[in-house]
Amino acid sequence: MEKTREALFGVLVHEHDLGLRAFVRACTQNAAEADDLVQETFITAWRRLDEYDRARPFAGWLRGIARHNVNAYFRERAALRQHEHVLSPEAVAAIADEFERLNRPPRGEVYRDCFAALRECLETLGGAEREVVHRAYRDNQACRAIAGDLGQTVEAVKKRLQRARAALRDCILSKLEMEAVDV
Amino acid sequence: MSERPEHQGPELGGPVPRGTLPPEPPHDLLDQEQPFDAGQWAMHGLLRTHFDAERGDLDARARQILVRVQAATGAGASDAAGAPAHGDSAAGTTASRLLAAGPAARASRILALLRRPRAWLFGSGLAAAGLVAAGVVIGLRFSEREALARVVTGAVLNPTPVLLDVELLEGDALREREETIAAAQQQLAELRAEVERLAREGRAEEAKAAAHRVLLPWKDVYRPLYGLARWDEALAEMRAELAYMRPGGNPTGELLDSDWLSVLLLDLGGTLEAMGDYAGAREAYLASIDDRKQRAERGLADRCATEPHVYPVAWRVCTYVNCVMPAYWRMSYLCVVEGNLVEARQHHAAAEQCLRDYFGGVCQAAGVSVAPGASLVKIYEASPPEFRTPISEYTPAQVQAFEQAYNGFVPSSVFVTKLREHLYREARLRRVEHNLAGARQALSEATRVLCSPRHDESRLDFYEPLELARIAIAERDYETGLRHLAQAERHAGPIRLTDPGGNDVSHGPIAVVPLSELQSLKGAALAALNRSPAERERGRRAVEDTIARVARLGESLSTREQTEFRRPWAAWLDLADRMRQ
Repeated sequence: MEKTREALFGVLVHEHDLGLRAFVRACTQNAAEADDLVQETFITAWRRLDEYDRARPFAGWLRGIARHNVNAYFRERAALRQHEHVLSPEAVAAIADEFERLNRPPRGEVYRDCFAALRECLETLGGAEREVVHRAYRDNQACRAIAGDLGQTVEAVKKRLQRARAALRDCILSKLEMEAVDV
Repeated sequence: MSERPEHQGPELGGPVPRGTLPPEPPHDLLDQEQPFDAGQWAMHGLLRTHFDAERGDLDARARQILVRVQAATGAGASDAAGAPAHGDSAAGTTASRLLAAGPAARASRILALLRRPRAWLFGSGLAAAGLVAAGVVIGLRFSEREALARVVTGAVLNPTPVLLDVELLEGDALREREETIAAAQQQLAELRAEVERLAREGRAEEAKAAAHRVLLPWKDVYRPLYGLARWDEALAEMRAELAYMRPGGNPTGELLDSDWLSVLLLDLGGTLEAMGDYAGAREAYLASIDDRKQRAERGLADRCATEPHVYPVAWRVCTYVNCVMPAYWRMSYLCVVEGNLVEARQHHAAAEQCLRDYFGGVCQAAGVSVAPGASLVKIYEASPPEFRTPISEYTPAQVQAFEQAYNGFVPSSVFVTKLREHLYREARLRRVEHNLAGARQALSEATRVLCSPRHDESRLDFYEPLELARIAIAERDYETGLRHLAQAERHAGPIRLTDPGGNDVSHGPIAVVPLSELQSLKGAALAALNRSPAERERGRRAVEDTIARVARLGESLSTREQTEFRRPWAAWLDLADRMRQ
């Protein structure tokens, strides 16, 4: 029985890793720390699996644990490095709410729909926006480097990225909304 | 008045190397000067994750997480290896549905998943080994790593030099030490009785001379007491000696003005610091600095008055290096423990000035010009070769020749060793200041100072690699940290030194507190590497054992005092707690 639970949990990790990582990655800029936070969230979830209310979405429960871990992470960082910018618990909660919107039942339980929607939405971006998004997120270029390559100011690149993210968000939400209606 | 490096641990830099993980992506994509917009941040996280997954960066990480989750929760690596990768679709089978399904359906569905060919990509128990070989397994959870970072960056294991000599003796060794203390106490009692007798008999001058003789062996009582972590008894003896020096405290009714006062004040400060009484320690250290400076200036005035051929500049700067500088070091370190890094830097700079004056004075006497603002090491390197690599002992004729040639300066290993120790302290301070690269640079510069281990009672051959290990661990380079720890360990045994007089002197092995720090760091680094569950467990136990030993050092104190005593070790206690969970 225990083995079954472990195996089942493996599936949960598989299915929720991406979504959870996206939330954690939105909160912290450091990939390695995000790994640790995701890992810690799953360990806590495993230990507290009996507390999970099966009537509620598993992703939301996981995100609740992750929120707690992210807040603890920021508290510790603030204590350790006085001048470092950290997100307030309210900001983390607001980001979690955003992910809640992207994860509304009945769709999006495992975020696969959300990522599929993102993939489609990227195709709909205008050429200039898509260029900066690819350079920034696919090629891991800093804004300064992108600005240099494209002969633009850093501010202009940041603005373009901002517009692209806003457009992608609207696009994803509308796609998920439409699919939910179809269901 | 010998000083040993009161090592501690004081940082943490920015992004850190993480094995074979891809380079950290840029952090400037979100315009943090704009009002906070949760939608922007959420999309940023989605985009990052999406492209990481597209590149395949996440598959290995997801498996790694599963291995670590299952290691932490007691499941085997084979399960982790069997988990599907991100590219595998669960074909609409959600975990929620599996959870809701009956036991038979769950088992069947999961078995189906695990039988998928790609699910066996890493193959059974090879998964964990494969990840280790890839160098991507970091065995500590975030909270543990942060706790370890605090240990090697901001926290201290042995915050005072007094603790460097503490030993946890048992059996015959303890009895022998207690007998030594009893003999010293007996001698002290006899000397005090002699003073009383002389005073009673009205032999004032003899009584005063005898009273001065009382002061010398008192350290043979209180030092072994704090060496056994019997803090209150040691403190009582030190306060008794301090009282004895005052006019009303001894049978002569006079102030016993002695060089031993400044030594006693440093010992008192060190003991109070160890007990967590930082205000008391500060008072004692500052009083010691003040006393040492006054004595140096008075001594110089006396010499100028009585010995017309004296070299005042050389005498003064040498006295400051030997007597005043160690007290500045102590103050600097106390400030580190208190968390006051600005003031720590000020006292450290005052110590450095003593060395600058010495090597600058040597250069000036040798007619060597040094560029203004040159580093301490540069000044040292500009000095004549005999001052950079002094021999153990010079004949009186050689001493006289040096004095005449260099305006009173005589080469001595003492100054070279102190310079190197100062650079070690510079590295330590930079680490506390979160300047890891600077700390490493200071230790690299230290190697340019040719200090012979035969003269190094500061045991830098032990402390320098230990410091390098702290820096490496702060950078999460655990392999390198372990290598430095192994090097330090090789120098932890008893040694024989040659003192400035050319005599052979035996020194015991590195004592329990610094050795405990070494063992703990080793344990934590092994746990972090997570090469095997057994090794992680050994590492965890090493940290726990250290904390248990530290707790024993405070056993003689009251409960309240024990709390203060353990305060500097809070980071270690925290790490041990987190690793135990």
